[in-house]
Amino acid sequence: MKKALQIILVLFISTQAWAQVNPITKANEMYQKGEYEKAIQAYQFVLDTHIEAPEIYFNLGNSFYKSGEISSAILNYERALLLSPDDKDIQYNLDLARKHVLDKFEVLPEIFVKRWFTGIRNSFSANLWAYISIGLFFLALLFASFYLYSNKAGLKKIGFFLALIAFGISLLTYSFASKKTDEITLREYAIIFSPSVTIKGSPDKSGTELFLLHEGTKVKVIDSLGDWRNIQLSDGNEGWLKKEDIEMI
Amino acid sequence: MKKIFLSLLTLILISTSVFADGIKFTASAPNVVELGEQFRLTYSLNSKGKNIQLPALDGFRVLMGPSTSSNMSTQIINGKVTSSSSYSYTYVLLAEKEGKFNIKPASISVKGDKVSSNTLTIEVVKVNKTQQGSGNNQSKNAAASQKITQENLFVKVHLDRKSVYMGEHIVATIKVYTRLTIAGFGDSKFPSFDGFLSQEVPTPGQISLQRENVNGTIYNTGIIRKLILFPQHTGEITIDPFELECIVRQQRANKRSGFFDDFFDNYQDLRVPRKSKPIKIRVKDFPKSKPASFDGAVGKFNLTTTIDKDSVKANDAITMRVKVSGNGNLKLIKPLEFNFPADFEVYDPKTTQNLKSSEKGMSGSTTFEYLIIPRHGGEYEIPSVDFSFFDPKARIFRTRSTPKFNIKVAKGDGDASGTVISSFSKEKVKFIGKDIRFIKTNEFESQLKGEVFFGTTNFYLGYLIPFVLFILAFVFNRKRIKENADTIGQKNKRANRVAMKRLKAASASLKAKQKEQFYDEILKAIWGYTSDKLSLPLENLNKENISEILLDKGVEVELKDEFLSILDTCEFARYSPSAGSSEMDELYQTSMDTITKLEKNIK
Repeated sequence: MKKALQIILVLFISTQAWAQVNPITKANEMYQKGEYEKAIQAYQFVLDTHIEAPEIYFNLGNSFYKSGEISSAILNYERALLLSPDDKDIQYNLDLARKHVLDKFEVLPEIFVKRWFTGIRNSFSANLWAYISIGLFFLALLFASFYLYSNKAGLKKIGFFLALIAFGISLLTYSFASKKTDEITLREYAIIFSPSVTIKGSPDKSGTELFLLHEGTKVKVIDSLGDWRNIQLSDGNEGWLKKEDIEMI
Repeated sequence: MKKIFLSLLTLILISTSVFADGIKFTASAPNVVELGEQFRLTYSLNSKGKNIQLPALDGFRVLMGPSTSSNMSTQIINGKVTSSSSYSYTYVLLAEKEGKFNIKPASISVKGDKVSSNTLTIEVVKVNKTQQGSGNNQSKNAAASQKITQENLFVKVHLDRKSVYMGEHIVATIKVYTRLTIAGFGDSKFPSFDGFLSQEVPTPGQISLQRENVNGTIYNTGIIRKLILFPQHTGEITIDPFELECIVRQQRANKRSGFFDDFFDNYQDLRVPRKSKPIKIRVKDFPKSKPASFDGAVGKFNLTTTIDKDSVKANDAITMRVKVSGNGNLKLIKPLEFNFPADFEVYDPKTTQNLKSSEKGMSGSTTFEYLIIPRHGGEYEIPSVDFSFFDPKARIFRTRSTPKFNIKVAKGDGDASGTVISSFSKEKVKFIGKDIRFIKTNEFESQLKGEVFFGTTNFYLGYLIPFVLFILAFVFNRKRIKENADTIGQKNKRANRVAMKRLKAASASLKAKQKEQFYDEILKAIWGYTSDKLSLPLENLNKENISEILLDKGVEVELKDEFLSILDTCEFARYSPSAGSSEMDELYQTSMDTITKLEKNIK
């Protein structure tokens, strides 16, 4: 029953016919009028019904940004970017929001091949990669049939090589899709929400104070113990903080 | 003029009445006297009194008294008039017994009230045999004429204790002892007090000599300087000698008879340098049970900690004051180290000291002022900090703690925007007018949360369906090719049989003497056979190309000629009436042979 309701809502939001009463349209209008608090509530209402889209997260992030809640804005931009990694608008606004974060880190240098790979992987969403993989597999089969049924030797050769290449790329895109799906489903990154958090050396209140982080900083959660989370920064530093200080992306 | 006089008069009246309130009745006498020495016991009163009553004076005999005297003085300083009057009652006593005597308070009535004086202690010492003369005047003269020796004039650094704990105070008194007439003091060299923190105890500027009994000898002693010392390290510390040049007034030994000489040159001043002995002090270390928070404070202290506000906005300053008050080495107390929340900006504490040095040590207070600025909102806690000190009297460590402070920090006015400005100011021109991009108002597809295509059944079906179709197509195609191949083979195989069948039909027509039918059957058999055998449709076969095709298929030339001759014979005989049955028999036989041969030859 709930599922049915959700599906109806999905249709409701997606179809233009209902535009007049579409909650997203309403929220957008509030945003345009500058009623950011109300817009936030409206967007969040939609998200609470378990419906999501990168656009909703993006618009919610914008509303948070405009009302000065930078860490919430960053969180929602990051969520939008997960669903739609190739969106330039999201990237731009996220960069701007990040300028408000106090903590700056040296990003650990990666091998250029790896960076290159990540770049390619981030240029499409998980679903798109999945479709591309299936499409390439189909192409590989097509070329394979060229090889099998053609009477001309030249066509046979080309068909064989193209089939091999298409199959290889299909495997690669499969791995991209798999990785991106993991990013969406596992959610190992988090945004710090407390104004300032002291990162401890051990999951204990009396642990050695290692360093200080401020709200809006993105961290990777690599371990957990009770109420404590072991986080890693982009510069490689690790430490523990309380669960309530962060919000998973 | 009259007015001024009047006001002056009232002032005088007021001031006297004020003085009347603070009535002072004091007794004074030398501390030490010799046995049989006459001395004065004086009571002074700053008001008029009646009926002085002496206490019982055990061990002393009153030789004379009381002789009263009064003294009035008026002072005008900066227009303020103060006047004082004093009355004194003097008794001359004679010490009769050896020992220490307490003289109990005397009393006097002032305007009906009874006022008591202080208690005095007088020590009566037996006259030292080496000392000559008796009586006050005589001894003075004798002293003046005495030789300058180490016994008669020396300086000493006197310590109230020889063994102390580190950081505990010692009172060091530098004293001069003399039985000579001292005209004054010259140069002096004070010890450096290495290993101590020294603090001078204020003494009256003028050195006043007082009588003191040292091992049965009466000396006039004067305190040159008084200091309190705080040892800085453990072990034995030596205090360097103190040097002083004393100016001794002495009567000339060779008396001249000259009148003027006598008058002017009877006394001479001698400069006599004196040096004290070095003293050693043993400084003990503290007991083992040192608390972690102990940082060298010795004495008895109180700790008060105050904070000016506990709820502020971010970037507003908070002042925390820690006041250590009491008695001990306050000057050396280090600021307490607080474990402030890491995000607080804390400046080095400002230290203010309000200290007083006295014989009892250093007392007063040391205040540390901490300026704290919380930079971000939130609830913070300044934890409690221990302050420990050693109490040398009780020989134990005592610990005081500061209270715990909870501080609520609200988000400051410029909290978010402030940081924006700071980060924007880095590249002012570039960032002017920079804003986030506008929301997306386009139509978009939404989906259920957590819905991913990858890994679903549909996703895998996307691979599986084309693959299965591909395999099926492959299998189907193979089968079709196989079947095609089979039909040709069968035709090929069947060719001989079909030909024989036709030939049999031909032989049947031969017997029935149906000439035309016979040749027809033969032709059909021959053509049908070649068509099946060569997998060529009948339409493509004719007499013209058959020899070529047969040669292509590797058939021998004689066999080909024979084959063609059969065809020729048949076509010729078909339309010629003259053909006999023997010929037809022969033809039938030749056809059979040719087909059999062809069967063997065509591959």
